[in-house]
Amino acid sequence: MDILSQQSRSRAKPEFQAIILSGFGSQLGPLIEPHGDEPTPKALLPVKNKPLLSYGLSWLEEADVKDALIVCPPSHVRALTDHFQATSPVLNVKIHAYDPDSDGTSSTVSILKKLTPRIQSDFIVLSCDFVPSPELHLSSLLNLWRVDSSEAIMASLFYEASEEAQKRKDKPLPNTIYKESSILGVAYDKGSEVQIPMHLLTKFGRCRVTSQLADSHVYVFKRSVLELLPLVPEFKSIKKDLVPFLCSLQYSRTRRNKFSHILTPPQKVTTAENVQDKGEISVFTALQYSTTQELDFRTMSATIPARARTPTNAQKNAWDDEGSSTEEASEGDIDEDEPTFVPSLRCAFLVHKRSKDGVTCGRANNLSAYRELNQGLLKHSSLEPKGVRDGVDPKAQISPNSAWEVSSRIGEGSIVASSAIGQHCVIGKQVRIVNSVIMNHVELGDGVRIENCILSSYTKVGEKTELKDCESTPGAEIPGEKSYKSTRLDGKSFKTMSSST
Amino acid sequence: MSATEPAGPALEDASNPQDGVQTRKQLTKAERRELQERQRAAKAAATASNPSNKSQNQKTPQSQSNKQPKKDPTSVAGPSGSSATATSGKKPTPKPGRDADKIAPGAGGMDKGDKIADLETQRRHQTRIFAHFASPKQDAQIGAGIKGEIHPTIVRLGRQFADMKIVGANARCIAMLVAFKAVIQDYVTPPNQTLARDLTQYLSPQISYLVSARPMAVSMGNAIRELKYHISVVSIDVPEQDAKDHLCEQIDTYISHRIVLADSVIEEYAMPKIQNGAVIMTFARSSVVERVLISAWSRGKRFSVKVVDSAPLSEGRKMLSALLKAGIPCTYLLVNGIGSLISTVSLVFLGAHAINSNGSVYSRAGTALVAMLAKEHSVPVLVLSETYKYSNNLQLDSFTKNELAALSDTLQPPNGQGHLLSQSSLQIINPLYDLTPHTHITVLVTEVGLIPPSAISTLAGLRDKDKGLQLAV
Repeated sequence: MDILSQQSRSRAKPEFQAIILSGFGSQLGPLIEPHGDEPTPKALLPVKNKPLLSYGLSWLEEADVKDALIVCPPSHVRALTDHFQATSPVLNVKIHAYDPDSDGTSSTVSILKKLTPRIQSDFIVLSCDFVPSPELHLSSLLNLWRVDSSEAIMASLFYEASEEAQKRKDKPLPNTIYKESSILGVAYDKGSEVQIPMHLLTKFGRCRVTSQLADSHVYVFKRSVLELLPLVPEFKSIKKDLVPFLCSLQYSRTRRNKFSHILTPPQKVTTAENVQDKGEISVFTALQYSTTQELDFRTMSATIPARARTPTNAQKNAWDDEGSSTEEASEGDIDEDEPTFVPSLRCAFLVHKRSKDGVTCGRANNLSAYRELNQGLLKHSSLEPKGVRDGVDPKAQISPNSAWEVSSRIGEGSIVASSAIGQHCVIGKQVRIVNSVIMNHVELGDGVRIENCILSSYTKVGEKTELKDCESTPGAEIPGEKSYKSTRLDGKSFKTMSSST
Repeated sequence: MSATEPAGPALEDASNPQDGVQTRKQLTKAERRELQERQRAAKAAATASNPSNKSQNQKTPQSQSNKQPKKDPTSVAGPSGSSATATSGKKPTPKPGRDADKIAPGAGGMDKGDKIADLETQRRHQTRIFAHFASPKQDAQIGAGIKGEIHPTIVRLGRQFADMKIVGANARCIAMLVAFKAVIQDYVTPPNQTLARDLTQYLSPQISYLVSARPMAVSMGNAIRELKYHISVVSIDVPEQDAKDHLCEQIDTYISHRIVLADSVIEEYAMPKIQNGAVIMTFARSSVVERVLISAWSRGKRFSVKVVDSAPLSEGRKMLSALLKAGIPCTYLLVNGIGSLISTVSLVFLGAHAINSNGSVYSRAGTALVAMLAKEHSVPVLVLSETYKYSNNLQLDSFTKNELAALSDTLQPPNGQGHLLSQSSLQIINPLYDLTPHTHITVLVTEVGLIPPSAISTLAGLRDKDKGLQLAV
């Protein structure tokens, strides 16, 4: 009762809205093939026996975000609704289907554009496949956003990628340019060269470049970024187009002039001189009085001495991070007499370093990352056998860093090591499962050996088959007495094979 | 408006009536407690109750573990034992120097077997001296245990307070009032309630949230009192939106009259005191002093300024750059250099966080030093402060009421001393405020004129009598 009466006392709009992008997961290959008529959404793939999206949702809940909107293809809506609609009393989850664009594809930026009427406050964009590590809290990113008094437009979270990911040649990590807690640029697909624009260096003399950080696709955007989107119709991807563009606003003067007033409408600041005319006192007035801030306001006051415009003074003429600005008369709107606040349009930046015991965090957007996440989480699970081994034969051995569901049955003499076994599985006798992910409703015959595989739901494996480094599609039926290495086990091909034999 | 501090010593008084002298009370209690804790810790270690300690580890936040010895003198071994393990536990500690196990010598007659107990008691002994200061807050603890929905603006403001983004009596007061304007505008009176009665209740958890981020400033407290008064006199017949607009207007009036315009008036009063060729000394960064100096310079007076600064906030640097931007010739020095330069100084301008009822000034730590030295050398000390910073408190030292700054990314330990942080026997303390006795102050420059510091209480008395009316100058 108390909560209800409290809630009715404020119609403040929520501080943050979360938008979760749940796509098809095309890089996950066989795992997301539809099972008969049922599509397999990426968001529901199990990681350590919990759906992938649930990690993101519990992360949001932990940070006290109240509103989440999951955006998914129309075919996934039903499956996701069943799973996530009413999981938490605090987090209000809604599901929204997006229709592809007129040319059949859909881009993340166009999704944002379509959602513009539904977003009323600053919003968090999450990818459904991001699994945070336990010591990483979304509230750290949110606090970074909240604390910034100079009007940041974006906050992003990067994490230190694992060594395997750093060595991969086909999907190299981006080159990230940053300084302290601002990100200045992200460059993809540049190979071994990093291009740094000169005006970035002019403004930010000292910055760092690294290729060890991966983008977690967790962003906090200011609401006014949505107003910017119609002006840049060629943008397709948030990660590759929008983010570098917003970063460039910090140093590119032409772009700033073009877009600054959209992102941050000019704020007139009440100072002692004009307080009697204004009457509207805002937080910028408070910031003027703060002893740890050095916000400067563009005024035409005579106290600012003129400076020579030589190249050596270029740095002094550049703005400093707190948003001060010199009075270059070439700038368009300087002729106001009233002091206005110069926003810094900063892109805040949080780096999550890998902890010493290497608890993983990352995006499960391709097969190797999916495997890595599973292995990482299994390794660090503090899983005691829990004593509930009803379905498990007492003579079966399960290693401490494996996970299995209570509803599964594991036969005599089976060995399970470093693997995750889903719900309602039937695993026969003398089965060896090493380093694998077994999803729900899987049947393994006796004597099957599985190493380094991912078996999707409803897979059936015949007796005495050996599988190594394989992935199976949902519903695949793999005949017995065979041995497969590094193949994609497609249900359709087996059906045709069995019908032909 | 520090609700927590009186509770601590009061509890102590109640539980130990046989203690005589004030100064020795803590020592004797400490000795008795050491004995108790040693026995309890030995028992706890013997039963090897690690899981239960760990679970309490997660529940007890850091600050509460500091306060527990003070607040519950008869606390059970479990919480106090686990509070010590909490400090040595896996959390990154806000107070440095508690991780390693190191015995400090001279603990007095304890045998080697009680190493852990010694460490705990030693640590607690150290913190006990300053435990009644508000302990610096860690991230997750702002608003812990506060029931009720907190408006997003207040959440944001609390974070800005805790991270020392908005610092200074005036800044915090204005920022808080601006946030309250947003809160009031978003407020909806529940059915069967009147705005006059309900809004105050609605604001209380928001205020507690801000206090949990950083202890309430005197200026903030006075402003809240005014606001609550204005809320309480809202007539029941006024429609809700009109009442809310009226309250926001009152807030704006308060800020513009008591702070912004008051500063202008203080400027006018202080201006004649600055002569051409004067050497003015100031400490850290006061918004009023900065304003006065810049406007005096822009009116053509020519003087120079010596800015005295101190760690860890180093606000003097921002003052310095503001003055330099205006073109004023400045000197920058740290507190330890005052003695050498004071003889060249003609005038000292200081700011204040609060003026106490006997005229003593509660201000940034270091102000008292400047005032004392200036008095020694017969340099006039002018404290510039608005009248809304008056507090009914009577403080005699900087010890009973103060605030410790948290060491965070923004506040670093002195250069090159980072490696000391890992030593457990080192505790770094950064008090933020100190008290300048009224005898060291020549005159108090307020918007009602130049008054001797001890006269401030008369003015406040006059104001209180005509509640809500501006004091006629």
